[in-house]
Amino acid sequence: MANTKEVSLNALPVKTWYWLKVNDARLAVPETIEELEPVADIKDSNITYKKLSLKESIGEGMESAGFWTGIKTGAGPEGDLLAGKSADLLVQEAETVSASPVVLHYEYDGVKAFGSRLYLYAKKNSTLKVVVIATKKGLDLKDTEAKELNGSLGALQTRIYTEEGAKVELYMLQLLGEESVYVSDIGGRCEEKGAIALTRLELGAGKLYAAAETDLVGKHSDFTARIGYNARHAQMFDMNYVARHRGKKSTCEMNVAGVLWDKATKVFRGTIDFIRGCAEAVGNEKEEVLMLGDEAVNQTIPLILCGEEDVEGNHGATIGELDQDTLFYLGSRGIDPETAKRMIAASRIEAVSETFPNGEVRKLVDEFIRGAAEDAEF
Amino acid sequence: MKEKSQVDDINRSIYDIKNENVDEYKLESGLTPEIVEKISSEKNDPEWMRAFRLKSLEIYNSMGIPDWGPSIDGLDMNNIVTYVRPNTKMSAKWSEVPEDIKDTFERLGIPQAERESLAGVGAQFDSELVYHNVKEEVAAQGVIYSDLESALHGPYADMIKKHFMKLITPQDHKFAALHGAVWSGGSFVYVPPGVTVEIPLQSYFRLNAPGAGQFEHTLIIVDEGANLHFIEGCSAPKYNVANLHAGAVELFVGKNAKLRYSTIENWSKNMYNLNTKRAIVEEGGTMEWVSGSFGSHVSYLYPMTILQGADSHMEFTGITFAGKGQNLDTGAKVVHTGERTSSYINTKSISKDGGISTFRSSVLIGKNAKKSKNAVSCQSLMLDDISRSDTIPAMDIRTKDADVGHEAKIGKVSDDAVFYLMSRGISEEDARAMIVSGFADNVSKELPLEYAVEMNNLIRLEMKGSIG
Repeated sequence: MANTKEVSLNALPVKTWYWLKVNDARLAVPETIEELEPVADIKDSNITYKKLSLKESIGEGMESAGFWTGIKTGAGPEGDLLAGKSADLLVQEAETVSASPVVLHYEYDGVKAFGSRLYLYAKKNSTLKVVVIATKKGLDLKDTEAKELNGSLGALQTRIYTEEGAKVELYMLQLLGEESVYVSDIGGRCEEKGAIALTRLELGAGKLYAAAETDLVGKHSDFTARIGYNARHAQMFDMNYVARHRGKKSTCEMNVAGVLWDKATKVFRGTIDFIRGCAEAVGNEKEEVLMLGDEAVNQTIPLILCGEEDVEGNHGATIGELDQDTLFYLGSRGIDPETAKRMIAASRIEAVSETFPNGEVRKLVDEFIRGAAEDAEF
Repeated sequence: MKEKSQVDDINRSIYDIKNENVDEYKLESGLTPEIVEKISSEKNDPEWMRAFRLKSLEIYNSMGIPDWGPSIDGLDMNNIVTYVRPNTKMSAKWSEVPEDIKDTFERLGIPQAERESLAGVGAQFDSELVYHNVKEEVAAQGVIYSDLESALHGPYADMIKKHFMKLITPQDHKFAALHGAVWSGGSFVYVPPGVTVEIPLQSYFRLNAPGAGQFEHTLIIVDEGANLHFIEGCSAPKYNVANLHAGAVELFVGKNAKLRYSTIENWSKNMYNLNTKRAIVEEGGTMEWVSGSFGSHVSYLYPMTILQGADSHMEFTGITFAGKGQNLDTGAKVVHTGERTSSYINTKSISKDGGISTFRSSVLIGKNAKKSKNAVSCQSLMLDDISRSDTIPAMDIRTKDADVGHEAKIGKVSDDAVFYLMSRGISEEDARAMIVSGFADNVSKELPLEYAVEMNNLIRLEMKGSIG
């Protein structure tokens, strides 16, 4: 096996007891990581694409590496070690809205280690829509066998900047093979009335490290995250989401819903951080975990950090199996408990996939759900 | 534009009484094997306890300072006196307690509470108990309530050896190890099977000496089907040097037994309160914690409950009030290992005048804890924008057959509610104090009346002068 280096990812913004083993995640990564180019489908003429080399100091503003590295990401500084030496920059022109979303398809071979960077810039009062699909090359969703990790890795670091009144809608579907580790890291900054809307569906990878940190700098800036996941076999999902409220009246809404089958494990860290001065900010976070595996393990760490008096922060979580009332109701409609559990699990995924703007993703997800339903054991 | 006015805090005269001329014996400050040996000798420890202390000191020296909570850089163990003994013997009569020490407890209302509403009282002054008494009718039920050192040499010596620092081991953390090395004072309670103690027992801990540490150990065993309410109070006058409290509370709740453990913590604001509390509950047993944290400069306090027996239950009701110069990191921990166990954690925290309040919790539901349930509710109130309030809960669920719910809220006093009360002729300060008292209602309603009154008085003291 190639030389590896251990990195710390997804650290909680403040630590808690070490014995819980949730303060961060540790990952051994290969020292050599190749760069992976996505297959890009850009139809909108109001979107410009540029390749930025991070080795040389080039350009100014959004075309300089310093501009982007100033935006913190959820995985933390060591996440930088996994990403590529160049970045794909997409810019939405001011006062325009993506007529059709950019689709970027990252295909991983399931053998080697690959890293990529993606920078998204929405100019004043624009809306940029991007769909990122990360899959195993030659994906076969009928193959539902558990796989051992084989040292392969995929990593994507995405940084987002929204100018005044601009919005980035980012949709991400992940369907890597279980033999691979996947690291998907996001950092964002929103100016006044700027917004980031993130929709993410995590279905694959043997080990997943997914993160997003958004700096809500501007007044009325907004972050919404809609996260769905389905983990089965021995899949391990480690997630870290941070909404940092700096601007007055900034808002965030994080909704996470997922299913854990078999002996899958999941850690979800979600932080709403109200920095002093963000008066009248509102942050909400909700997580629903459906545990269907006898040996599944769920860890949820929802933080609210508050240095401002005039804010409203809420967090709610429900964790467990399907409640008896739901099972009884479905039973009275002739649906047996196992079918009911499959239905509810599928609905968690579909509720997220339905919001993707392109049919290709929904088709992939439907196919995944059919395979997962056949694979499910109770 | 919102405007704020600021009025100075009033002094906490009752709690700030200093007994400067108490005749007492002190060990030198710092922590060495020689000092630990001296404490052991002072206590006339059995050999196993002497060896336990020295082993604990070794563990203490091998462990690091926690880096995940409030800073304790201001605490230098080289400057802490670990043993201070007032030159008096423990008595069962207040009349035999030295006048100045008795006056302090009188002002704190302890003898009066004993007369009116308690089944027994233990009063500790610095490192030693100066008073311990239990009502005859309670003793007649077979209830043992004594100081721990006497009990170590009495008929319950084996029971104590079997339980002492078995729930909280010196390996748990640095300050548990410190406690194991230098513990002194504290109470032992044993409630025999089937006995219900109708009115509460209380231990009150007073730390008078500047730069001293208090390390009392409370060991309570509530046997099968028994029922007890135990109240713990603590206070200290304020000094300009750091004081340290690293007590330990170990609670054993037997089958179908019930224990309620209530604490009003009001240490002075130069205190580092690094206290550890833990309970283990057998089948069908119930553990209830009621906790009010008002004092201390820095606090690390998270009572832990292990629901080992099937159908056992835990409730934690707590309030933390962090004012100027305070960094209070409090919360609760629960571990479900038995089937059909249930727990409910309900906390409130208030931050003002630059105070920092952190709610920290952990809920662990083990693989075998089928059909277990847990709910956590924490609410935080920020009274100004120079304070902090953080919520750091963790849930670790290892069975699908569990039901876990969590909710957290953070916010400020509603301007509409203050305006409404003011429109009824109530001053702004009183209106805000009323709202904060109402916010703390979940704790006060769980306390005996006189303690609820004390708690509300503490809130009023803290709220005085905080219009804004």
